[in-house]
Amino acid sequence: MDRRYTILAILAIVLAAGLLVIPDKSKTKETSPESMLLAVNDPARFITTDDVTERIIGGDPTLQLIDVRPADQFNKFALPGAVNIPLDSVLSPSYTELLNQPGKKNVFYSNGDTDADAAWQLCKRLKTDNIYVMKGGLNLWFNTIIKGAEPVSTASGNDLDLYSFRQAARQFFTGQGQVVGTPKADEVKKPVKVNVVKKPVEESSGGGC
Amino acid sequence: MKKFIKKNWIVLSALVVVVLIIFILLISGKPSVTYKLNPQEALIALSDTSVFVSPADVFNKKDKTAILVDVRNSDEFTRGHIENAVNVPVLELFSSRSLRFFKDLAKSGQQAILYGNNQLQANSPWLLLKQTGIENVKVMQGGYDFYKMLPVNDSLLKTGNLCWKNEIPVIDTAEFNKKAAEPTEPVAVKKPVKVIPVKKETSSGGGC
Repeated sequence: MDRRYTILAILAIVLAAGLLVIPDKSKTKETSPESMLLAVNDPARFITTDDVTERIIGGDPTLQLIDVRPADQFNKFALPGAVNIPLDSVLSPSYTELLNQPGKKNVFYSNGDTDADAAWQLCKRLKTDNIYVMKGGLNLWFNTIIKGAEPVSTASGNDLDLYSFRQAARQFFTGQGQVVGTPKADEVKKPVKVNVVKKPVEESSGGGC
Repeated sequence: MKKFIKKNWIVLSALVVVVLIIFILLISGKPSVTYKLNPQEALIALSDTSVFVSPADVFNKKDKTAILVDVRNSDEFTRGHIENAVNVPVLELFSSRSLRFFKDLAKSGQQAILYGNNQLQANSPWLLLKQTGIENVKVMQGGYDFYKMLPVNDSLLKTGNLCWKNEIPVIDTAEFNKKAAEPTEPVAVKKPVKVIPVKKETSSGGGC
């Protein structure tokens, strides 16, 4: 037998073995830092506080709110339907299933938005999909929905619409008709209330389709 | 030998192709940036609050050797930025030039302080850099939107003003307890309130 054929065969086998040890990128469990950089730069993960409010009131079944604040703050107050996963246990295996339910939109929120965004980033690194961040957090939600100031008389129609939506939302969350902190006559507020009822209905049915 | 090559040129060229494939895959499969912290370690790194620099400290140049890094895009940077800041847009953080920049800073014992328009914009790049083993980075709280108000409004610098702190809760739970505190009267008040959400649900459901 020709010796050169043997060498050729051995060479081929060595190369075949070499192909086996090449790392398979598709099977890695983590998102690479480069892809994470793209994801971090993409504002598509942010959801506005108004959008979240509308979904809560409209009873969106796909919405899953994740509260990453400490448990004591969660027990004092949380958005309706929120699940408490404190930031330090967000990677715990017991929550993996909850965060990976198909068809659910997980929205992280905290007091501000940096804690929620950190939770988002670490979950994203572990390839959790369908996760979002409520931009501005509970603080913005509270300041605009519960403590929202009346727009100035020169405000645009959009601002007025937004204000009446937020006022309706405030009623939903607090059960109060009056504007918090401003003792105004009820007769003035009531006609506003009527508008309020109609507008969110149009908005939500439009958004649903 | 020549005869052997002539006879087996298909096999030999196939082998050359395979060698090339292995070589290319090995090179492309090696990412230039890798994680140095696992997610759990990154979570622990998050609890270290010393990486957050207050805008007042930046304004007063408390750390004289620190270099400010503006992570916004070059358009925003040219429109206005903190004095002596270096522009490294988020997408360029892992370019070889930026990596060398961070390494050089680390060698000379300097810190890089990241900032964006708000804290959120700098916070996520900071966490990502931290995970890839770049240790000497900090984040300015409040962001540029807050910082640029400082020269005109120095009351913002006074102690006790914490409006630049992102995670300080402002929520006042008393607003929600009011409902529970008046159980007698609200019977009439509550009913119309309840009707509103129900109406919305049915109409949005019907619309689809």
